[in-house]
Amino acid sequence: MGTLKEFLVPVGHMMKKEFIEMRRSKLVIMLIIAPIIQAIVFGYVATTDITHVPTMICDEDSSSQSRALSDKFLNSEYFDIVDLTRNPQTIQGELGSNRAKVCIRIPNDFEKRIKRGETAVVQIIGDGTDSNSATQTMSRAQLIIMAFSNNIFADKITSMRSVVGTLPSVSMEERVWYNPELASANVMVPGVIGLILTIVTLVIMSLSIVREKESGNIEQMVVTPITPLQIIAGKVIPYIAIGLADIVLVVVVCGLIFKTPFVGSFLLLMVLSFLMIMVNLGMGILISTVSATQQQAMFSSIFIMMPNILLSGFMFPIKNMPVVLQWLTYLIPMRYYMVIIRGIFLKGLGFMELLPQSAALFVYGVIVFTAAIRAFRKTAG
Amino acid sequence: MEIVVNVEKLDKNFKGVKAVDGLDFTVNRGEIFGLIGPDGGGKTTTLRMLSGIMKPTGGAATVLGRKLPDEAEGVKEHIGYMCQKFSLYTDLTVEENIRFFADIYLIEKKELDERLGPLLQMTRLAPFKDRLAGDLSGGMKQKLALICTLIHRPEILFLDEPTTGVDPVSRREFWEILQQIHTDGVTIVVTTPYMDEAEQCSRIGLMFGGRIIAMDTPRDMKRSFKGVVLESHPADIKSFREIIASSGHILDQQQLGSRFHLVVEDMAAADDFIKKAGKDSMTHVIAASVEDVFIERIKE
Repeated sequence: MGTLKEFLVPVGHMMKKEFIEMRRSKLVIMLIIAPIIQAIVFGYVATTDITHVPTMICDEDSSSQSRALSDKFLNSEYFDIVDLTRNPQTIQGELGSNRAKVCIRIPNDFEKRIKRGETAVVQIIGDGTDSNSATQTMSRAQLIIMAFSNNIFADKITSMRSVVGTLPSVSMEERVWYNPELASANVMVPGVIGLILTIVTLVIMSLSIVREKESGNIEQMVVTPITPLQIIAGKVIPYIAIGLADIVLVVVVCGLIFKTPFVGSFLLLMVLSFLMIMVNLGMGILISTVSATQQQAMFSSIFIMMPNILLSGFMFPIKNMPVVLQWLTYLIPMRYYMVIIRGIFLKGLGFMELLPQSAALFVYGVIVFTAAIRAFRKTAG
Repeated sequence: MEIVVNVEKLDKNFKGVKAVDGLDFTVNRGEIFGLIGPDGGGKTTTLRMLSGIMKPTGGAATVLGRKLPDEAEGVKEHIGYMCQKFSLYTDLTVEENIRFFADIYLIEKKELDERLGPLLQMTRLAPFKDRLAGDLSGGMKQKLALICTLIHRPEILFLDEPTTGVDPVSRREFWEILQQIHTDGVTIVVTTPYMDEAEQCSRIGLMFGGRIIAMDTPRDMKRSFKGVVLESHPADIKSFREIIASSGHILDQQQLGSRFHLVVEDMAAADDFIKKAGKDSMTHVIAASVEDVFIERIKE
């Protein structure tokens, strides 16, 4: 045990120094406060749910039927009626100036056609410059109009029941598991945690080592009896602690603010997050060995982070990507962590179900960290 | 005399460029040995190899009887090395910096407490021990760095340009401290681009292009100067310049304000020039400096 103690004592000194520096440089504030702010901001921003779409209704008919349809839109939380008009000439101006994102246009023969038993047409004009939300808005509008149509149909059937009897029909009963409200925040918030974890650990680690390189401290330490492995251990352990603390903080804050459900095991989340932290710290050390200045390290970190955001399934589903890019995602550690963190948060998955992802992260971590230690040994002489 | 550093045919190549080229020298115990020369001369590379940070590409070096780089680990605790850009931990106080380096040298707390006082006193940093290193002046930073390299009581100190970028007053103070350490029996190997610092050393090696082009005590080095150095304070600079131009004997000339620093081949040439320049120019023979020797040698 003497040798282990011999190894650990300088590591302890290194850690002590690291914590003093963190406290003095106010870095600790950045490491604690910034993730919380990021989680809150990203959590709000990253919701893809569309509600309160500014809507104009152009009711050329002004009949009881057309007003009944307008009311359906007025009462929906998806649509905010910003303009109710009879004049179709104003549509162009309203959509063009972005005052309204969608227009419901009811023609002047609306009620007449319904009464005659013909098909009445309602026009929905969407703003295609934001294609994603236009698609969602149009299908919402379609649902409202379909329901309106069904009501008219049902009224007619009821009045004819004596003649035709009851009619068979099929209705759908929706059940969405794991995220019943289909709230995108529930999916995004766990993803944001993964993102923040990467930013904090990867960037801070690489910057911290490069700063010591810049100031000549690493070179100075090489001539002391402390070994490169001890230097790394002394620098890495505080950042593991910070990374895990950030996870706890962000999970709690997001739970309070976004009411994100957390059904899985917290302990499992911490253990698997530890793997992800090790991957990131290893990457951070690798970056630091090839960077001479803090700016270079910053650039390299961003370069590593971009694919972690774009190819991990955090924002864009991997299944929708071109096949070649899908293969590429296997090289992105965040890909595995996304499955892990969403699985634990929303599905309550256990270790056995997450074994493939955990194993991938573990292997990744071992490779990256070994390479990092080798590279660091080389640069540190 | 005991040889503590022995360097034989030491080479260091960086991608085909010879930074250090067949270096030979020895350092005796208790000496201040100065490696003096311009930037890019290979001084830093030499020091880094002797401190075990860098592996030589050829030749042999022993420090305190241990062969480098194989036995570098055994040497570490007996040497102190201060690298050129060493700027310590700016967010730590003076005392915390010292304690950190003492800690990683595994010095007992009691022992450190005994050493700390005298070191702070010698460097006059005692009143600033609670100040952040980042708030120190350049000269104070260098003194703090020196303490950090002295804390484990090394037998040899390798100092890489410790006075570069330090103001003249602090520079002088720094050398006073080095002389004191030297008196205490520590061998010092120091590099500097400042020729005037040669006077502070027991022995100097002039380094240029990866080689030592001259090595001696500062006194003998200056005696080895082949030419004669003249100094003039002419009243009429313009006509004096014409005299210089018309005289074929001037090997090297340098105008320092209204003063002229001239080198001629021998005493005969000197007498000849003094006559030509006339009494008004106040031309007279002065002693050669290390810089004169350096310029003469690189011209050869």
